[in-house]
Amino acid sequence: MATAVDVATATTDVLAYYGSGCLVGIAVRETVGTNPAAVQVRDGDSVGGDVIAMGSVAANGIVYVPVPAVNFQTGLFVDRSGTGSSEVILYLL
Amino acid sequence: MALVPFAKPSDLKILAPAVTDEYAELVLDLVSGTIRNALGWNVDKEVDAVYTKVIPAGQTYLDCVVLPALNLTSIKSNGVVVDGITLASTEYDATSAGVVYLKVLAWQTVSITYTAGYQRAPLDTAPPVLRSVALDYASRMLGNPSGVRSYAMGGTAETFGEDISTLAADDERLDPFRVTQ
Repeated sequence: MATAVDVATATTDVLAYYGSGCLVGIAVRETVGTNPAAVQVRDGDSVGGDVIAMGSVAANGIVYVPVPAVNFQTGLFVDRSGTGSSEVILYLL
Repeated sequence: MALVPFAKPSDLKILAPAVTDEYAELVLDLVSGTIRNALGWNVDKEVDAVYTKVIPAGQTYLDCVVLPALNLTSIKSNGVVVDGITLASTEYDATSAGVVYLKVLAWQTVSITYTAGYQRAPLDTAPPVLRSVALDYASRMLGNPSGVRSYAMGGTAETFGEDISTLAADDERLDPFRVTQ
């Protein structure tokens, strides 16, 4: 059963999960409704971590991305850019 | 820039000495165009070509992009971009067959700027088999320009075993140079 890690809506970067694990899905929602938001999910505890998955979501948009199970070692760092505000949910095993 | 035919008129004139230069050039242009259509790419070297891959329906992410070209020689610096974000060269691998493996999962359009294909002039580095196919096909066109498959005249009838006006006979030789999208 996958566990959902909810990253509250914001424009700033955040360490969403610390420790190793397996990522199986990502959902991203833009919440302000005027600009798109871009998100990079990194394996690490900072913007220096390797990017695992990346993409963007349109203003008011939502994307759900089931991914092949990806192991990560250090943690999951959500690196946000763009002017939109995004809520991110990471699904882990 | 005009694409270079796969064989020269002088090559064809060795096989068919009665053909004029202009006719040989025309036939080789037509034949080369048909071969390019069959292969799915133009074969000639392209520098800094740009290919944009949109996520196909039913797929949620990209982790691999197959470029519409072979003999990939380089990916431009900062040439792999996912939705406006440039990937570092450590975030992808590419093969000479034109396959770019992304080490990230991209849920948006991926754009790649690359150099691929074969230099055609002054030195022609295209695989020699393409020259051979072009000359064979051109010879068939010259011998049977309307693609007749059988005919009968008086008491004589002749049937050709295959449609000699197509490239079907050359499929096996062309297969290694096809790209599919």
